[in-house]
Amino acid sequence: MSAHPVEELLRIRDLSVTFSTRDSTVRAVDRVSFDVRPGEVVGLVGESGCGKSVTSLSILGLHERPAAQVTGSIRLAERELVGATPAQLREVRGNRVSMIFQDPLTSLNPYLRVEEQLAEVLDLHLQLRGQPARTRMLEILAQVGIPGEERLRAYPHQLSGGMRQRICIAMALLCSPELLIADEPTTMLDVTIQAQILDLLRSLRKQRNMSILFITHDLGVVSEICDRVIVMYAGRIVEQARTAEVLQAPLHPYTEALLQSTPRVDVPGGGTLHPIGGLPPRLSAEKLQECAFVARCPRAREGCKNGEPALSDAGGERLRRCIVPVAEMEATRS
Amino acid sequence: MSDQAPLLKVRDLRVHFATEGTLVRAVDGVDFELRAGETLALVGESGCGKSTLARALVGLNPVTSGSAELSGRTITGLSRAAARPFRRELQLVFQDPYASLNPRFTIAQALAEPLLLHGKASRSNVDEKVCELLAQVGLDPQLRRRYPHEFSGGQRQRISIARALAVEPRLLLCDEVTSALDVSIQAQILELLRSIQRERGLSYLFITHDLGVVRYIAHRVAVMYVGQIVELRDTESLFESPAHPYTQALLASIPRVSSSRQERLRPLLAGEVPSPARPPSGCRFHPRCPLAFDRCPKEHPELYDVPGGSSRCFLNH
Repeated sequence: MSAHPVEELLRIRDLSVTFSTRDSTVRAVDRVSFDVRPGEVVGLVGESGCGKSVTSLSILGLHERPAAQVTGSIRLAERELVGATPAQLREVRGNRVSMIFQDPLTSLNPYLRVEEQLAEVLDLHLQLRGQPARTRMLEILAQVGIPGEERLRAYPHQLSGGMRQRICIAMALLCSPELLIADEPTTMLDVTIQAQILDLLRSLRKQRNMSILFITHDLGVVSEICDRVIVMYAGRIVEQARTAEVLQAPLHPYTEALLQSTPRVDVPGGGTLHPIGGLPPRLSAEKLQECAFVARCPRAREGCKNGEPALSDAGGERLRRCIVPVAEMEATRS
Repeated sequence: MSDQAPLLKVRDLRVHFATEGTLVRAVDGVDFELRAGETLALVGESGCGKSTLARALVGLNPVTSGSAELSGRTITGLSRAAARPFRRELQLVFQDPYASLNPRFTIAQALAEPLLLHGKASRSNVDEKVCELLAQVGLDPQLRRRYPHEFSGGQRQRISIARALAVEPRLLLCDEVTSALDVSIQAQILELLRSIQRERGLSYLFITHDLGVVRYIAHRVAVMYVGQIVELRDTESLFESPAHPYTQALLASIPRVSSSRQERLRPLLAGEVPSPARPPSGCRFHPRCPLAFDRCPKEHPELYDVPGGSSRCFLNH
């Protein structure tokens, strides 16, 4: 991050995403606001159904309408994306924002050689064809650690999982986007390959001053790559801070519980596990009358039932949605 | 754990598959023992042969050569009928509980089937037994008339475990049982498995790629690479001082919550796991090994004794 005051690249305000089905309405994302600055890696963390992927899909307008109602504001460098026309969104997708997913095999076309998939992007977005396109492809493949022309002729099924994810990253980088959305990009990979991909993303970010919105459930991965972390629970942000602060001194009981239920590879016996009992609440469209985490919270108290706590300033650049005094959490940190 | 005879004894087990003219040596000479009440973790990256090994032990993959004994009786290479009495003692639990539960069966039906089949209950007391099992895995017996889709992922994994326990096995083969679960739910299942082990003296062969989980649940660890065990150690010895260069690289690759982020130096393992259809000569790890020397591509290392176990590396000889 640069030291001088920066314009944020991505500015999300009061984003809500509601899905309506025949017999129910689910609010998957509930009034979420955050920024991503140029060159910054922001982690969006939480368990299944917390709304982290739904949030990221909203940025690219990838929700199906009318089933999903998206409200609030998503501004990418002064351009409003909520309610943008398909043509406007097409202009943003790929050119300014790219996305990579958990399973590279499903994001690659099994019938096309690597070369053809990359060529399509260059043709559509940059009107590059022939030799200039080929030069660009080889350049980008070298950057993601795939040297030589041999891989250009391969079909996706002929490549390993790590190699496929590198191809997806190459595709995402072709138009030099300012923001890369990475949705669990290493979850399906073996740890030694995950380490390679994380290294690659780190060096690309440095070279290009590219921002990354990194969606993951793995707090170890967060500690390796993210500058800041946003913890989501039941569709809302419950904590937001710099990575080291969140991991070493969490200020929301959910973050704390998440850390305490992760077996530690670096502690004898894997550490002591404190599982979180129960399940997350149902995400209806109605306003919550209590804290979303209260039923599972080991620190819950009377006041937690009197309306949902606001996301409030906890000093520095920290935000938390909890009424337990910070001093109390610090005093009883295990 | 006492010094009694091992519950499971695996000797030079090989599982080879012939596909399109090539021979895939998925499991290629594996030896280990598992004692009663012990948890042995089997770790390694995709394609190392850990799941194939587990499936071979329960008869889901044919064994090419070698043997496995359960309490001194051979369980490999048997006909279906001959294997039947042993099936009960060895139960397999999978990663995706939804795929292993019949969606048309209520939970009560899913649990009653093995109970009746193996004579662990009669028509008159089967319902009572089902309730007992559910209570044991921390589920409300009132829910037994519901169908699998009405439960969450963690609850479904509890049901799969209850189903495996129904026939009173002595050994549970757990194949990535918590990999599809969120960490908070994973912690619940790990605690459940530990408490069941304490109560029943059950043994686990625990297959996982998550080394944090291994350190939490396992007494000993076998690290596999391209069909072979490269290191077999007591859990704490392995994590405190990994002997094999592959284990060292594996441990170094894991992102840690406690690490100071970003610029942490880490010996990155270059390249990818070789195919078990074309295992490298000599030591199978030598093409990726940062410590390889002239002997490694030429000779195949044995498992050499190291503190708390053994390691397949010339440097440990």
